[in-house]
Amino acid sequence: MNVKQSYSSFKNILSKNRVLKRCVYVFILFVFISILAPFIANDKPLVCKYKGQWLFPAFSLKHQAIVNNEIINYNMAKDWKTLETDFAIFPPCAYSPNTIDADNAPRKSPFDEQIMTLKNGQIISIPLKYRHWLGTTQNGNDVLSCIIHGTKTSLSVGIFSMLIAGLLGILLGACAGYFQNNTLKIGYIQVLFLLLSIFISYFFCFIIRADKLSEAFKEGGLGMFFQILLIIYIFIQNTFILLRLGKWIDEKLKTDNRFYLPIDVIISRIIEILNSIPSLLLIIALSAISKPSYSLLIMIIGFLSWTSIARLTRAEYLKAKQLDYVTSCRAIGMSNYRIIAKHILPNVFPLLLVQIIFGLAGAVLIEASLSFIGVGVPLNIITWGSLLNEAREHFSAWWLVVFPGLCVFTLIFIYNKIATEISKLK
Amino acid sequence: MWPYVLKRILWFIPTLFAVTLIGFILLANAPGDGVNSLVMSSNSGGSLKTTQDIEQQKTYWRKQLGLDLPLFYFSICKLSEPDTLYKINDDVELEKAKKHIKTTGGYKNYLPKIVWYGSSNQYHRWLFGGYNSKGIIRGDFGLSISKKEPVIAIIKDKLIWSLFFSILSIILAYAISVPIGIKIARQPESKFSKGSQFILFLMYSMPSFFVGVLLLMLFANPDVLSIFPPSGIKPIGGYDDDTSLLEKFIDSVPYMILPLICYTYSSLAFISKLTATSIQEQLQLDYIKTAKAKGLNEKTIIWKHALKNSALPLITVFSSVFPSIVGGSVIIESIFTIPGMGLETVRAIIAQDYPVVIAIITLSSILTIFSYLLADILYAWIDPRIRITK
Repeated sequence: MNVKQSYSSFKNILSKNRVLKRCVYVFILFVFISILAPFIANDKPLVCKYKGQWLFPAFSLKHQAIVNNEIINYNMAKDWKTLETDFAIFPPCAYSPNTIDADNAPRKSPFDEQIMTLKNGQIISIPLKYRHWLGTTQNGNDVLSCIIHGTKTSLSVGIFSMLIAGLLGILLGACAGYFQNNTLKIGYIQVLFLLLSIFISYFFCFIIRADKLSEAFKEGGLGMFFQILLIIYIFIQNTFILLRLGKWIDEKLKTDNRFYLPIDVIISRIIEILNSIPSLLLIIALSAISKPSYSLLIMIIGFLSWTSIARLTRAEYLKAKQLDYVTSCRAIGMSNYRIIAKHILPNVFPLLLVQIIFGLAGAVLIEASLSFIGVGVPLNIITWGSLLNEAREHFSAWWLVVFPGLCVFTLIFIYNKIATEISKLK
Repeated sequence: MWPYVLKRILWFIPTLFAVTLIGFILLANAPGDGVNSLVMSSNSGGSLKTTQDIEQQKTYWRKQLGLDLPLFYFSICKLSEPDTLYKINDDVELEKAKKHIKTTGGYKNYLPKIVWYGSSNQYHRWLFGGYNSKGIIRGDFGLSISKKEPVIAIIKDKLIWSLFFSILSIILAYAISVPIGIKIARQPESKFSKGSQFILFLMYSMPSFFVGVLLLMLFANPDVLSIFPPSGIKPIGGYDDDTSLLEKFIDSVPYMILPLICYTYSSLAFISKLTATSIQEQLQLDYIKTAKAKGLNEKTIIWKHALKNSALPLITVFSSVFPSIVGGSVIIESIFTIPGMGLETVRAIIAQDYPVVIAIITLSSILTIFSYLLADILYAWIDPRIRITK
């Protein structure tokens, strides 16, 4: 199935199911808001004319501009609103999430009278276009702007962690379900080489490169991601080479000492162990041990939540293995890899997708919960959860509870609804 | 029955072992020098004047906490490293030694070796006990760094509160959602079932912290409605000595209502949906027709016949609801300041008191494993087919 076909079938499904259609549209809206956040909520104007020169501060990557030998710093928050520009178009929400509006500082409600100090010291009631539509926080951050920029965090944590979890879960679940305990034969020499490869890979990954690893994990971000990829690569490569070597020796010696590799038992045990540790507690502990960052959080959630996907994949592959089309595939001598990836996977994927979307909702919930209790997430970034956290001490600030809470609720609700609607399709 | 139970229990031993290993790896990688903060906080009076005294104290505490032992039964290290490298406790000295090894090691830096330490290591001591420790199998989780008390003494009361709330909320969830599920199964097209399904689905998508803060804002806020107390579990000032247990309980009821709502609401949707689908399946089977033909009334048919046969998935849910409640307690307890394990976890992480954190994780994992075990045994007890086939 090519892209055009799948797009048209997707459209077909949407036109039949109105609830699903609406949910998908709201999700797309969320995605657009997260991508366009800097142009929807920014304290710099999109376009302005200052002393006869056109400026585009919101789109500019530089931090300052020179007009008539006067240096204008783009990041001076208050400046743009009090600057005597000839003409300026501000984004719909004229504040950045980290802009601190000291005039409306300790928690102004959306209906309170909001004020603004002009450059000459005159205090006026705030113009409509600069109003804090959803109120302000304790420090004077604009709630609407924080919510708009928080969309990106919530969406990306969910999507990227589920990407990891989905890949891992489908791979391991498919191996467990398809090979079970009685398909893959392995010689004793090969097992010996497998253990040897784990030993050697461990040594080369963690002992020799210990300094670089700890450095990368302290810094976090892309470097850490690269290190993890490297570790996975070293493990896979070593295992592959040594297994081949073991097989070659096995064939030379012509030993008959072969037994079935109990892949199903091994993977099921791993799933059971991971399931028995309360994942929220483990995530809190892990992210407290290392320096909090979102890339680490994504990886932790990804590497812990693949189990439910793997369990479902295993069950589906077990079922599919009994069906006639798989038997006939095997009868004509197709390779196991081809059967797993090209014949069974497309058949069971819609079901797995449901589970992955439910997982998305779970990941969003975990991220929001962590930033709500303020553990394991970078504290300088304001998200939906951390806005709610501020309301805990001041119950009178209802706008800090209702708006971010509704955002989290809406996103989770949409994910859950999409998942249930997809599962009802058949 | 018993061989099956025994087999299950034997299967759970490796799981338990792996869970403790994960806990230990976390503990060993925790940042910060626990001994340093322990000695420094006890030295706040200034009793230890010279650096030599401080070093002596540190060595003493290292021995007491077993930190002078190797980490694990064996270690994989470079061929050029001596097998007593673990004895250097100072980070700066260790760095120096490693640098020296790196420059003088030559080709030996790139060859692995395994060193066997035997049973006198930190993991063995932590798990089975050893010098000055009884091990976690006898309930000794070590010493809390920030409070300088045994961890188990700190956790004990907290565990009771967490267990109390989670068990009560599980019972409540079943008591509310099974009847709802049955009602939905009997008339799936009625207004009640459609409405309740929609409301339950909305509740299922509500994050618990949102609901918690919302409840506090509405019902414990002097500006709106001040029905319930905002935090804690007992009246401020505690009880008099002569109050009876019943009176204590009655006094605490208003403190429990909001947290219990928070604990319970999210599992309602799940359990009622499951009840509805499994009872609907049962209602189409022949034995229900027979029972109807016999002239039994519908109540008996559903509550006595169908529900018994659809109990299996409900038990499975029980074992999966428990871990989620343990995890969720972190959030709910910190909203309502219930002195349970969740709040203690947050406190310990902020105070960098890692022995407590790891003890809580290990303990709750062990509890979860036991709930799985319990579910498995219940399974076999209800459905005899499972004992034979597995």
